Amino acid sequence: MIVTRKALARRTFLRGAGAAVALPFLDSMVPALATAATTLKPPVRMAFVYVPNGVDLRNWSLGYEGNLDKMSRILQPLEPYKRDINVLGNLTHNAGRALLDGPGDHGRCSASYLTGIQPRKTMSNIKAGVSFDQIVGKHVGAGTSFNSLEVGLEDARQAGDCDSGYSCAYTNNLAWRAESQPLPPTLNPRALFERLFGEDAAMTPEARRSRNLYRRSVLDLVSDDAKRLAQDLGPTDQRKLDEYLSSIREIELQLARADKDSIRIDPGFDKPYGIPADFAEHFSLMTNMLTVAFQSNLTRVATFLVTREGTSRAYREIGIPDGHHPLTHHRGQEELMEKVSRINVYHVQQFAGWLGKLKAIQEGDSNLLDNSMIVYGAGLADGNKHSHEDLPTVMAGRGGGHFQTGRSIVYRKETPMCNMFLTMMDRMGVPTEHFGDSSGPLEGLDLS
Amino acid sequence: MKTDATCAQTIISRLARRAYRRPVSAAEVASVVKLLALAKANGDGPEQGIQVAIQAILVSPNFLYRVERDPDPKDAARIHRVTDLELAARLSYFLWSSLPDEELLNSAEKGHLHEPAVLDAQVKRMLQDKRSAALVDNFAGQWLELRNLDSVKPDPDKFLVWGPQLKNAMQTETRMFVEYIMRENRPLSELLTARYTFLNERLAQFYDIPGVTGPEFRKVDLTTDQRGGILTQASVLTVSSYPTRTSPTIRGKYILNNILGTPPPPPPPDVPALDASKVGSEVSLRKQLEEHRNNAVCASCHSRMDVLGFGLENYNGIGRWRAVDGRFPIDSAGTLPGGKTFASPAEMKTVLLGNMPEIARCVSEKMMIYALGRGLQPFDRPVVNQINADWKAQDYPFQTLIYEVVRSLPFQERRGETVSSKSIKAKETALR
Repeated sequence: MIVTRKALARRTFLRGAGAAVALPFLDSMVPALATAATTLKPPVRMAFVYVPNGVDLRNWSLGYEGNLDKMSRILQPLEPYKRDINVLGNLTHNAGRALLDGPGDHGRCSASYLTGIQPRKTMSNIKAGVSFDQIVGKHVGAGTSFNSLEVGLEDARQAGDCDSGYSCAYTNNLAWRAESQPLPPTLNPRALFERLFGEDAAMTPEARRSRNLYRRSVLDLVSDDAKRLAQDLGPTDQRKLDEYLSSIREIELQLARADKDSIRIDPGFDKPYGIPADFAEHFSLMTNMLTVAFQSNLTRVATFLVTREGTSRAYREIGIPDGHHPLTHHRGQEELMEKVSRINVYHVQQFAGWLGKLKAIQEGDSNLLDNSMIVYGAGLADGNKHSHEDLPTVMAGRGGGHFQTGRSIVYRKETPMCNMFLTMMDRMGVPTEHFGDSSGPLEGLDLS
Repeated sequence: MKTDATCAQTIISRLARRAYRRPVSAAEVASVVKLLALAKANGDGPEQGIQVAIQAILVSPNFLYRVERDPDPKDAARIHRVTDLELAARLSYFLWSSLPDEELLNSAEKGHLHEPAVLDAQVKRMLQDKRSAALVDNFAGQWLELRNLDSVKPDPDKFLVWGPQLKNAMQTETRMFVEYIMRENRPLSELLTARYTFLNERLAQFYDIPGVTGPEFRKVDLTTDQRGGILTQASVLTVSSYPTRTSPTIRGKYILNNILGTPPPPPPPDVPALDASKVGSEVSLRKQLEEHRNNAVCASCHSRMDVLGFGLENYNGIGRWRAVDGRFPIDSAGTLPGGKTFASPAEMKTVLLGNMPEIARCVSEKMMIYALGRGLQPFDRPVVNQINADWKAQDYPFQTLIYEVVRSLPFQERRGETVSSKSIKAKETALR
């Protein structure tokens, strides 16, 4: 049953970011018993694994609805996890379309993917919207070390023209903290390791306390500086400074949490050396760390930009020396389409590997995958045609035992992708009435 | 003898002045000096205290943001000169990609920097300083797309010699070449036509140029017309290719974008691509591209783009000279829409040089964007026109452009921002 949100009391709306968020109840308002009950249940986590340049739809599409049976060639690597996933059809991002803005589908589809907002066509004063993962992260991050994690495997250039007048900031980021502030993915496994598990694992509690004391004093000082500066600024500068201040506040919150939990997390593997040359190894290292981050509640929200939208990366690992993007403009030529399919299969294989890791981690009588929503998706459907409807989407995990899985669900044509976001926000405990062009939560996922 | 306290005070105020690029108030210094006391109270030594203080200075918005004040930040009609201190920062970030040094800061503090003679003298000094290499690295790195060399991945099966050493050599060649043109104040046209370049043994071998030994780079005179100017340098030729082959279209677009300043409109969606597997085996690349241009819609842009790119077909996907592609002899002849023809890369460059005013305009616009840190607006047009008129009169010496940009109105002035009633309303809503 779909719960309508008419009855929600005490709503406070955060406006202006394409989203109107109903803030969750404060912890102190939840009766003590309920708190005890909720702590027994593992939290729900969510992640997006984004692949660029669309897919070869001939080999992606299942062609049937209902229980998952024969997998398509590209989805074949997910065969072992057939009972843990749903394949969703007809989800559409209208904001990725031209809508009078001309060419630049690659720039638009990645920038709008999680923001639900058509980005401003520009190479300088970029503007999209707050991405929904960031809204969720802000609300569920309090009990964790990081509101969200952003990772990727390819270069994270932020300036320049990456698609017909769209800034590289649009193609090379998924998460947007503010409408003009994307969060670039971390590419280096070593950097991610240090961020998650601390470069200071060897520090004594005393040294850490001392360092946090200094950090806090420095933050106090610079936020005073910023407040003084903020007087008499034009609106654009004001916004920049607001972004600065909000980053400061985030670090302050992190410090406050770091004070509380002095337990260090042992990831169970060694610090990686750097960026591995091998794609599969790089992918695997990143997902190892995301797995531990979810497992140890370091974060509950992650986005993984496998490669940048519009990328021309070649896949010599599997004998494809051609650039991915030029291949996808195959003009229906069998040989090129075959290569696209092989790249698609290769990506899904890596994804399946991650699902295996998540599923192997027991949480009570369920497992980490059950308690997650891991979406595998592309911002374009057909990379040759640049289509924005029927976007390839797999949702893995039961969202905390809430979803019925193992099915192919084909929605009505033009169903907004943002509807899926609403459903996910709901599962993450951030019920929201409206996001982007949403028309209501996605039906048919919940257990009946 | 100075006490510890005054000593710390001196260190902090000096550092903060440099970092914030302006004189700092006693209160500002005091707020940072407090951190020293904190460290002491926490049982740490003065080194630790200074370390924390430096941390604070380096994350302060006064350091991280280049602050420029408007008398009325919400009135776009009020145009005003930036202060001398603000001008000093604009200048040092333009020429050095870094903060002003003591001399520049001094001149600004005394209020002389805006005087034309003083300003010119500072530009001269700063260009002579080795720190101006940052202008070449960052400006040329972006303009000529040299930075992309770090992310391109030529197919090692097709290009056996490709590797980090060669890639670095390519980058160094172009960087030293552009730096030479800037430092020696050579005319802009030399960027395309120079009869010299900078090579080490590795790159000279790659170019089949004899007599260059050892890993260090040096200026080498060129004796054939296979090489000469940026369009024949391997760095540029590599970043404008696909991983497995050349793309006359991308190279042509590179020339239109970066040299002539007349970017083609983006292609319509659903464009057919080439059958790469056939290139060089069943039919020549040229032939394939020509067929593609039979379509009138495609031809409107590709007749310029592809033709310019064909002029560079003698260089393979990583810029090595070649006479054949697969089984087909290279044909680098072409006729541009205006009727001008060429039969080799060298001749194509000559044709390009006939467009010197367009080339200069393209470079000057890019330099303005780099210096101002913003895109050009229609109201900048008169200034760009004036700069180009003055530059042309002197036959385009490279440094003149830099002086002209610094002297220009947009570089020295600013204004508030128009605040639309809509955004004021949005702000009020947010505050409620």
